[in-house]
Amino acid sequence: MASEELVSLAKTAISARLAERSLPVALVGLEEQYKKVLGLMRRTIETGESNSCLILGPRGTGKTMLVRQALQELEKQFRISNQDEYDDDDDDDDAMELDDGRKDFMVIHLNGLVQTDDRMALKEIMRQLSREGESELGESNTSFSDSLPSLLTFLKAGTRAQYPIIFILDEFDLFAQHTKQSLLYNLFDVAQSAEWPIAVIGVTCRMDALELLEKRVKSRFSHRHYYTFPPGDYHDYIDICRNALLLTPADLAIQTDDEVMLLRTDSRAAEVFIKEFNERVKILFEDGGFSKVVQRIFDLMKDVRAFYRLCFGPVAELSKDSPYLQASQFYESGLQQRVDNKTELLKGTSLLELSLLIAIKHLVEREVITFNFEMVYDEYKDFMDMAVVRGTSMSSSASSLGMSSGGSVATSDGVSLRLYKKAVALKAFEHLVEAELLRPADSFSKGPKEYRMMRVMLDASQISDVVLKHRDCPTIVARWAARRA
Amino acid sequence: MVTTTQRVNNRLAKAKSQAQRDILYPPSDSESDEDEPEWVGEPLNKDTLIRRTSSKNTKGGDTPSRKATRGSGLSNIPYYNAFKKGDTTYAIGDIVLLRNEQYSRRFDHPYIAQILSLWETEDGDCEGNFRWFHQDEDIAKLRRHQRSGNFPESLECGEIVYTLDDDKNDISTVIGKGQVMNELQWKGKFGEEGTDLPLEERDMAFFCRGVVLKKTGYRPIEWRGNKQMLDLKDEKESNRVPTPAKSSTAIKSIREATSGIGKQVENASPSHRAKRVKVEEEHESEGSDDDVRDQAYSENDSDQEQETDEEESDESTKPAPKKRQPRKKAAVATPKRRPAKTVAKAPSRSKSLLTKTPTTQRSISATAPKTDFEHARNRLHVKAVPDSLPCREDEFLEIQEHLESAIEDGTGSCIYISGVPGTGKTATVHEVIRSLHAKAEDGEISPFQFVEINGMKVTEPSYAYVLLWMALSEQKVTANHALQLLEKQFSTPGPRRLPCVVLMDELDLLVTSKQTVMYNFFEWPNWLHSRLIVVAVANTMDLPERMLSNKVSSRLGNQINILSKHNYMPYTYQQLVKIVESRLEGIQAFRREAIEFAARKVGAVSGDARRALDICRRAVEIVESNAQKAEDQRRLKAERNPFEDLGPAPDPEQVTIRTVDQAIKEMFASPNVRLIQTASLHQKLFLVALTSRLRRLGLAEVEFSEIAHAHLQMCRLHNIEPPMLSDLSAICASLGSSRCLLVESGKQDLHQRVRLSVSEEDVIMALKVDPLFRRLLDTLPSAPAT
Repeated sequence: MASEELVSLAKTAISARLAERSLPVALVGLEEQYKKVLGLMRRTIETGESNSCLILGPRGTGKTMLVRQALQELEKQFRISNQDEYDDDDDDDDAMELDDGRKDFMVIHLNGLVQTDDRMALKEIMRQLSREGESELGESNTSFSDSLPSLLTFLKAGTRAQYPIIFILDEFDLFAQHTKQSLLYNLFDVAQSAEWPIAVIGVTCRMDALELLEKRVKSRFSHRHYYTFPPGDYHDYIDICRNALLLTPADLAIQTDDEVMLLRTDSRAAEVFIKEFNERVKILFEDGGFSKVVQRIFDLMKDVRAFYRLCFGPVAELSKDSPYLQASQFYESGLQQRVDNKTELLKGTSLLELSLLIAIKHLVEREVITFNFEMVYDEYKDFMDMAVVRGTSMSSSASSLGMSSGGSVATSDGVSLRLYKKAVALKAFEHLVEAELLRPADSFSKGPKEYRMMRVMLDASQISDVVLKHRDCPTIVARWAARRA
Repeated sequence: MVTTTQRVNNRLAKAKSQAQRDILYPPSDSESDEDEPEWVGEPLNKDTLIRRTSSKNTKGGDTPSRKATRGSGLSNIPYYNAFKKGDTTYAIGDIVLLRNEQYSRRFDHPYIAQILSLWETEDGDCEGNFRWFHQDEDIAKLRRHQRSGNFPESLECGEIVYTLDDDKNDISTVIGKGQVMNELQWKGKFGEEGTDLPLEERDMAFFCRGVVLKKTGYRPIEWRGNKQMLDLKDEKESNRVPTPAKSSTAIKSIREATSGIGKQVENASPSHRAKRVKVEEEHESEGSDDDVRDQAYSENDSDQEQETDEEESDESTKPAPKKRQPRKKAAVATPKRRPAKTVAKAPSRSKSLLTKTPTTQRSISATAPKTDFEHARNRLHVKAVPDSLPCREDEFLEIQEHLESAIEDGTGSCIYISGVPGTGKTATVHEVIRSLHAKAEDGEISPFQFVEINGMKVTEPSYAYVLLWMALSEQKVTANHALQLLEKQFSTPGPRRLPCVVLMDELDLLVTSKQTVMYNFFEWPNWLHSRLIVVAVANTMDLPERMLSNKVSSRLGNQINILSKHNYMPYTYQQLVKIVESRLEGIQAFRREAIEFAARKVGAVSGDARRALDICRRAVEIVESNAQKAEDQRRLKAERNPFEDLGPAPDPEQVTIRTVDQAIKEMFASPNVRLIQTASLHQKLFLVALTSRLRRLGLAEVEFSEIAHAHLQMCRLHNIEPPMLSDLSAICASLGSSRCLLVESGKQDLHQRVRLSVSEEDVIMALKVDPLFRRLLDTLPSAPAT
């Protein structure tokens, strides 16, 4: 049987993949793009040929993964070949030893969501440069207007002998929205002139990112773009998903020294565990119910991440007693993913709020798109009046609990239904507004809140759903909800 | 070629602006109550003075111009022999100290000059022509710019160097008389060690043992006395700031007397002569112009000679009269010579970071490219500056000529270059600068400075001042301060000015709301003392018209026509072919028709050379990787069955039309169809639902909830599991993020408006392939008639 350590190792390895902390084992459907991106970066590093490119694709198709994979590969290559490179130059030995263990290139990561303007981006570049050992730049220049020229002259001073810098611009489209686009202009300008060898790699999900560039910036861009598209057919998608769950020997070995030792002593057991685990995963993917869950995700968005999200739960539940993934675990998390967010939100809502929502639904069905509290309350009151009338007739015939004087009515389900006062109803109404299920129709409406015009953010069908799912909804209310205007 | 009329206009404008300057910036002399200079004696050319008539010299020949010299020979400017200021009389040939405006105290680092001539302008200003002495800093500066000049490492204390640089100047800047002696006298007086006494305490004395000739650099001479030195001539002294004209009779007599000397001088430097001839051959097209200019030179030379002869008829040198002592004792801090120090100091790194923008270097590959492909890739990179700029030869020559004459004249000028991106605007200017730098180093033209200011590379327009000032003075100051300093420097005379060529790239980004930056940069070249040459580059053709709208244009007045304009048309496909071919000389990787194909494709769209080069480079990469693949396969085959004969190695691949086409498709193909095809089932359905709603309503945009209903309905009809509403809004957002759709902000939720961002045809074309969607598309309401 699998030992506890093995299971926990497997757990961490897989969940790291699911959380995209570590890279997938294999690229599926992106081999071509990978080769091109890798080749582009490698040419920059090897021959000092500056370049620029864009990687475009919808979200979750592996753009960033592609770049990370390429960088990892390059890191592997150029860390080792470090010395050969320097042997060619007549650098003295000291320099060689200093450079040992360092990469032969620098990578600067920028993200359009973090560096929201050129000033911040520049600061970040400076910071990363100084971290990489180009300390002379980092400290001295503080003001924006100074740091830009000094960075540019710094880059300009470089020759092919310098070690190349690879700029990764995540969310590239946001950089294009900076005023003047001067960061992009300058990066592309350096990339297309004989200065410091750099590669500028933009990553974006906006397919029209190129159109955002100003013409002189566009002219400087090399117009290389690589597209990543979601996997074309179901099998590719399954492959990607399966790869994330399959264990490899490396998964159990890449830990700290202790674990490697453990693995060595216990390698037979580990092998057996991996084999068994992977066998179970394969069986899992043949399971009908599981396939249905995956197929649904595939039909919806083809998003690998949606599958990853699905897997978190089952993977976290792996333990010594149940060391393998089972299909039944996925049914549940599959179901969890299928709920409608808003319906879920209203699951435990009070009867009053529910009544108000039903009132709103009736209003909307009567083509009243915008409404205010008064209108809703009227609708609600109409219903209650009716219910009271009916309730009295019912109660007189059944002579049950009788009716209270406050207009409340006991329903057949044993839940008492009563007409709430306006003030109470208004509170409930405001609660719905706070949950943003209702939103003001226009942003600047003045006047008392009872009369403020609102729109509902729920579809009629969603309201019906809520009513159906509500635990103790009296039938009379449910019937009211189902009634068509 | 700057025509004479232009030049005259230039002068006029300058004089005008100078006058404005004087009003705006009165000499800020707080310390001294400057005495008004007054003339001594009658005008020299009293007899020939004629009354000015309105017909002559449209706007008044108040400044001596070449036209006046060449024309009737009658001058209406009164020349004088001497003037008096305070108690001191200054005569032609005297050594004077001129105030250095950069320092607040009177005798702080004064400029030293010799008076060549004196006259009164139409406005009643007293002006003179001065010949400068170089001091330590000037020599240091020159040494940096002109390597072949044999300049001494440093000057001794009190040593100055004679020049043949003349400059027109207002007499009001004269602050005192100085004296110059030769080395022997100096050492006799102050001992071998010399002296570092402040100026006032050594009778304003300097010694001189060398001269800087404009083209050839430093040469030792013997100081023979003020008058004698006036005779000294540069063998290649060319069109300087024209000297004031003389009466025709004087010219005649003197020309006869001096023509012999001139000839001798010319004979003495056959090498220079030869060089010039060579240059002429290179620029055949302008050969005739050159001739004209040569004539002008000789004329000018004789002018100068006659003038100096005439001046010599004056009285002999007087010992410098006693100077007024500075009021404050603090004035002891007068210039102390710090030999060697300033010179030896190499610009520190931090400074050099910002001072001068070097022109881009030619790319030198670190490792020699091995294959043809690598070579081609290298050569096709945009950065690789070609040996020549094909298809821009005319522009190159034009700009070069313009700049060269401006540098030689020491005048300012403006060039405006426009054209769409990638048409070689900046490249041409850089190439011109490179060739001019080479010329300056060879001593063919006078040295100059080059500053590049790129609108994209400065964070705010006013930073341009900082850059310019940094280039001129190597000091870093704030933008406002730099502006003040620049204005001061450009409005006051100074000998230590190298002509400065400023390249203003991406000019349109230097526009501020008040247009001050641009206004200043176009205004300064017209100032008398700026020696600023502005080359403005932008990609908007009508920028000057737009820029010089309302108030700026009215203030610039007649200067607009000085702004010579060059429009760079987009390259035609023939030119593109030439450009690519010129880079691929001697490389066999390309088929001719492939180049032409690429050129035609680009020429038809943008004419952007960068695009053409990028396409070709990408094509090379494709071929290279194909070749690599083929090679790998061969090897693999060979390994598998080593005994089979594989035949000879295949011919090296070439870039064909097909590869170029592939490259173009890679670069320009729209991803939209692919994007829609690879979208998920429900994403596609959503698009179909949207199209159907759009068609039914005939509107451009639809609310999300409507699409959702249509979507769910479709699902029910075709037995597809309907998604949740929140799934649908996620789908909508994902399509929006890849810009398949344009979606209003998510806050509107159900009511957000959605429209298609790709064309409807794309959607239909992409989805037709799928049988399910074909059925769906068939049921679409027909497109609205519009």
